[in-house]
Parts: sequence; structure tokens; C-alpha cells
Amino acid sequence: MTWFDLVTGDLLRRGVIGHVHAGGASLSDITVADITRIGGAALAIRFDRFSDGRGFTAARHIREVLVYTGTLVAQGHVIPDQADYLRRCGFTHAEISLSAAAQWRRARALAPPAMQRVLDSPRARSLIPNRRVRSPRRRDHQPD
Amino acid sequence: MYRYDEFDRAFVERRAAQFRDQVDRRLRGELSKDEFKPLCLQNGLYLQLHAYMLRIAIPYGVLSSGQLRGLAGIARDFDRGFGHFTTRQNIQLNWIRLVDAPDILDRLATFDMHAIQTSGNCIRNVTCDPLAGAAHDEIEDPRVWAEIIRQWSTLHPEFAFLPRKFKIAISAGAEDRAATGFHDIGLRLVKSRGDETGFRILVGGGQGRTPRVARQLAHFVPKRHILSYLEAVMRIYNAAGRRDNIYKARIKILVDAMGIDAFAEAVNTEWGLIKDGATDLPELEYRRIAAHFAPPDLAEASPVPLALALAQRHDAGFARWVRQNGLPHRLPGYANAVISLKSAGRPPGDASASEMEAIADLADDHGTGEIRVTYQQNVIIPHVRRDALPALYRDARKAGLGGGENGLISDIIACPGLDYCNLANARSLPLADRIFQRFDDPQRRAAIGRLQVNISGCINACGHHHAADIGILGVDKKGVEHYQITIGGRAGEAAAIGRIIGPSFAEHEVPAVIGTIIDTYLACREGDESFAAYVARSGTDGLKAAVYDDGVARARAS
Repeated sequence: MTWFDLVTGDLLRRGVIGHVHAGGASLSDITVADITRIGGAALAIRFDRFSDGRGFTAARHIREVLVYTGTLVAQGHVIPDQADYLRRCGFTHAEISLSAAAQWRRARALAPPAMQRVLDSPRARSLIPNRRVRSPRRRDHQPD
Repeated sequence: MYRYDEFDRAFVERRAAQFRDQVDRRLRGELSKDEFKPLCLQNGLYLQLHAYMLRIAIPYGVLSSGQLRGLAGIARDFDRGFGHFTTRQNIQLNWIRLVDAPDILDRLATFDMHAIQTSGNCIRNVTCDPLAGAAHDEIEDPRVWAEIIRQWSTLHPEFAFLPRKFKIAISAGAEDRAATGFHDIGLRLVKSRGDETGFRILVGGGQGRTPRVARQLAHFVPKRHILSYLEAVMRIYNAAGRRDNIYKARIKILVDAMGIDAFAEAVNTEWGLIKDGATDLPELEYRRIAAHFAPPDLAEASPVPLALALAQRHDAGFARWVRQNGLPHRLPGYANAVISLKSAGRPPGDASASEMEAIADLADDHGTGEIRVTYQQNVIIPHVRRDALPALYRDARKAGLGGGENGLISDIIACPGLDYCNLANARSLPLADRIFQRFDDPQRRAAIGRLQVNISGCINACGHHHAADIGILGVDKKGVEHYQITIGGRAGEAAAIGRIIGPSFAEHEVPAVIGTIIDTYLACREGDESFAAYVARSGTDGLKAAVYDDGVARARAS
């Protein structure tokens, strides 16, 4: 397994994961204390099934409410076609098998531009790594 | 109406290219059947009994004549030359090959249409009052908000894999013509006491095997906050909605389980966190979208033109058609003309490619080139001068589209039923035709008055039988198609769920049973009281007795 950078499309050696949040668990199961405790290690959200979308809400909660700014990895059953959704909800990486990398790159490139400005809330804007600050207009939301 | 700019156009093109890649990967075996399914559904493709069905989005039911001609071309080139308008203002093609689907999506993109999120566990096409911008009783044009919500919900990264499908409807009229009470979220544009415009928010309506009328979630949300409010509702639902049982996964079940007050509290807490963020549209973007819905330039016209009065006097059929199908317009010299897609031998809501082209011509020749699709599976030509109604009627009749059934017993809503659908217990379309034929007398129909008959082939209730004056539900009785009758449902104001009147009937008995119900109503009504008012006043006992005591004998004898 390797980490696929959802922003650049690069592959990365698997890093240290400090805490895994189950995508299906209650949002109250993860706290600021969990985030503080992991220090510089990564945080992961685990998907049991790709079609269970709770992990997307968990990611936004962790980014926007708990204000986590570090590496956020999607683990478990995620598919290449979700690459852009994952990135836009605040994931930085997806944990994938090396053989799937080409398809992840391709799916990332094929994703349509975003219609909404999900993570552009003033609170979240400056907090997401690898994201440049955008002007408030929708039209400049670029496909990366 | 909303016109695509370069951004929107690039968006649908990219989406079509993305789907072509997904189909290729599926055909090469790189995507599992399981993984392909939601991608397929979210592009409108749904595997039915005989073939793939493609459900094309008609955002809030608004089409240009050019787009309708484009759809006719697709029906002709990729299907069997017809399409089926649905209760959610979309159009379905029932005989699609998977390998053709990417080409169809490409073609749709050339005239600014798509099939995104018309199926699957995501936010579906937002529906709206079909008279939006042309209604005599609306607070403001709800299409502006329908378009804003369409853009917000389209490929929303957080809400593409919800527990279950999610339907939103918007209505801005004094009368609810969008069945907001039967949607996961119903939005009613209202004025506050301080004359500010905002939304009354309903939640948890729906049909299926657990029918629910939506309950009020918020009495007033200022319109500038609507997206953040919706996002808060969706987040609570996505996180807490059940995923262990497909029949208990809709938001109505979550609202039942939490209780409306606790649900509202959870939404408000979440909303508090995101309300003043950037989810809501900046004023400039709002104005950009709203500008697309500026009212058309309509010259002053007489409310009682001589040509209309003469035609009404000399042609009883035309007079009836105007009475039923000529809906009021915000300008007294204009009308909104319903083109009925109900007639003998026609599955409700079906239109052939040449009929679609004829409807496009009607809109160009007598309206402003715009067409609306209705919840009742008809179409409307908005903004027709009243003095143009005789010519519109003449041309509609020439195309075989001059039926004056709007709102009458023959204006039947039906799902595709067992003829197309692998979920159905029973056929809907032949029964709809039998009932149509039984009441195929314009004078008798007019005497019966406003009455909605809806038919669903199974408990999933796509034919909205719960929401009809007379609802008909297909059930399986020891392997034989049977039909259960419900009475007293209503989709609009004071939405209500119909009640089952008793044991089910065989198909051939149903038209006579409906006949008995109608005869009983006509014999017992006070003055010109509508069927709904009669049922509200006297309940269903009299009807039940008529049907099951002496009525069945009569029904069986006929």
C-alpha cells in the first residue's frame, strides 16, 4: 500500500498514522484531544465500503470543527472515482495499492470542476494544507 | 431561463467524458459491478426489466423548445422514438444500450442538458412549481432558488454517497403545485412579518412503504442562508441516517426516530457552525443567477379578447379545453396552457419524438419558446396571450395533443409498472388506459370535476398513489396482479395520505370499482363540492359500503 497525494497526484511512502477514525463511527468519537495527542503523525478515516459516505462528513468535521490541519488519509474501500470528492472534503491522501496509481491519476484528472465552494468557509480557508486561498467567486474554482 | 456559460458547459462535457471512461473500465472489467452501480445511477442510468433506463434531468421542469427538440432527436436515434415524462419533472428513455450512454450524454451536453444525479443515493433533481415566473399567486420566482440549489447539490463532494436518495421541491405560490409535503425537504417561499422573504422548511415527507407528510422543520429561514441551512440538514442526515436497511434509510425514518424537535435542534447546532461561512452565495453570484430569470418582455394584451370569446362560443370542445387547461397567468391578458399527455392508448406522460417536436413548435409559435414539465406528467406552454389560445388549441389538436383532461379523473399519474420495472408487482399502464376509457366522455368528466387518480405498480409508490383522491396500488395476491384502493390523499395544500378502503381487486374489477366510487360521490355531494371536499366532509364509510356491500356485486356484474 502507498499514499496517493490527492492534490498533486504524487505517490508517497506510507507514513505513520497516529489515530484511525472509523468512517461509520459517531462524530463525537473523535475529539481535539485525539488530534493533539498524535503530534506530527497522520490521521486516517477508515471506509468500510466506498458507498458509505459518512467518512466524507467525518473529514469535514475534523477539518472545520476540530480544526485539524495535518495529513488526513482515506483508508479502506475507496475508489479512484472518489478522488476529487475526497480532496474537496479535506483529505490529503488516499491509501491505495501501487497497481491502482495510474487509475487514480486518471480519475483525478477527469473529475469535473467544482460547482460549490465547500471548504472555502473563512474558518477552513487557511487551514487546509496544499490549498491556495481563493477569492470568493465560484468561477475561479479550478480543476487542479 | 438559465443559460449555461463556459463554466457550466465545460462542466457537463467533463462529466460526460468521465462517465465514458467509467463505462470503458466497466466493460474491461476494471470496475466491479458493485462499484460501477452508483456511478451509473448518478449519471441517470438505471437497469430495468428489459434494458437500461436513462433518466435525463430537466432542472425544475424548465425546457427550451430547442432542448425539447434535442430530446426528441435522442429518443429517435437511441431509443424507440418516445420518452416518458415523470412526476419529478424529468424525462426517461426506457430502451437504452449501455454502450450508447456516453454518446447520449455527449449529445445532451451540446444543448446544455445532462442526467446527473437523477438516480442513486444523492440529492436528486430539484423540482419546482411548473408555473414559476408565470403564476398569478407567487411571492417571487422560485426558479432562482431551484437553480442555486441545483448548482450547490450537483456533485457535492460530501453528499454523493448518502444513506438513500434525497428529493427537494420548492414552491413559491399561495397554492403548492410542487407537492412539497411529499419530499425529503420541501421549501415554501414565504414572507416574514417584517416583509422579508425566506423559506418555510418542511422535512421528512415521502411515499413508499412508510408514507409520511413532511413536518415543519423551521418556520422561517432567510433566503440568503438557505444553502448553509440545507447543508446542515444534509450533514445530520448523512452522519446519522440508517444504512443497515434500505427501507429505513430515508430521512423521514431518521426524523421519526429522533423526533422532530431533537432533529431540529441537531440541525440548528450544526447550522450555527457554518451559517456565516462561505457556503451561502455571495450577493454577486446570486444576482448573476437571478438575472437569468428576468421576466420575459410581454406586451400588454386584453384579458377578454374577442377572438377567444367567439371561439369559446362556437366550439364547445375548445371552451372545455380553456376551462380545464388554460391556467391563470400573472398578467390578465395571458394564460399558461397545459398540453395533456393523457389520452386513450397513451401511457401517462409518454410523448413520441414527433409530439415533442410539435410541443416545441407550439411553444415557439404561441408562447416564448419555453416549456414546463408538471408533477402530473403533462407539459405547460407558459406565457400564451389569451387571444392566441384558439390557434394554439387548433395546432395542438392537429398534433393529437388537444386533450382537455387537466385536473380531471382522466389526468392519471402512473408509474411505468410491470411493463418496464423489475420492482413492480403489477402493471400500471394498461389499468390507467382502462380507467381512461371508462371515463372517456368529456361531459361526464367535467361533471365529476377535479379528481386525481394515481396508480403505483408496487409499494415504492412511484405513481404517488398515497397522494391521490383515489389511489391504486398494485399488489401481488398469490401470484396474481391485484389492486388496493386508497381514498383521500392529497399532494398540494394540506397534503394527506390516502387510506386503504379494504381488500384488493383483480384488474378487470378496478374500473367498475372506481365507477361505483364516482357514482356514490355524485349522488351524495352537496352542490358542486369537489371529491376531496366530499371525502373530508363525510369520510370514507359511505364509499366503502358502496364498494364492498352492494358495489362489488354490481362491479362484478358489469
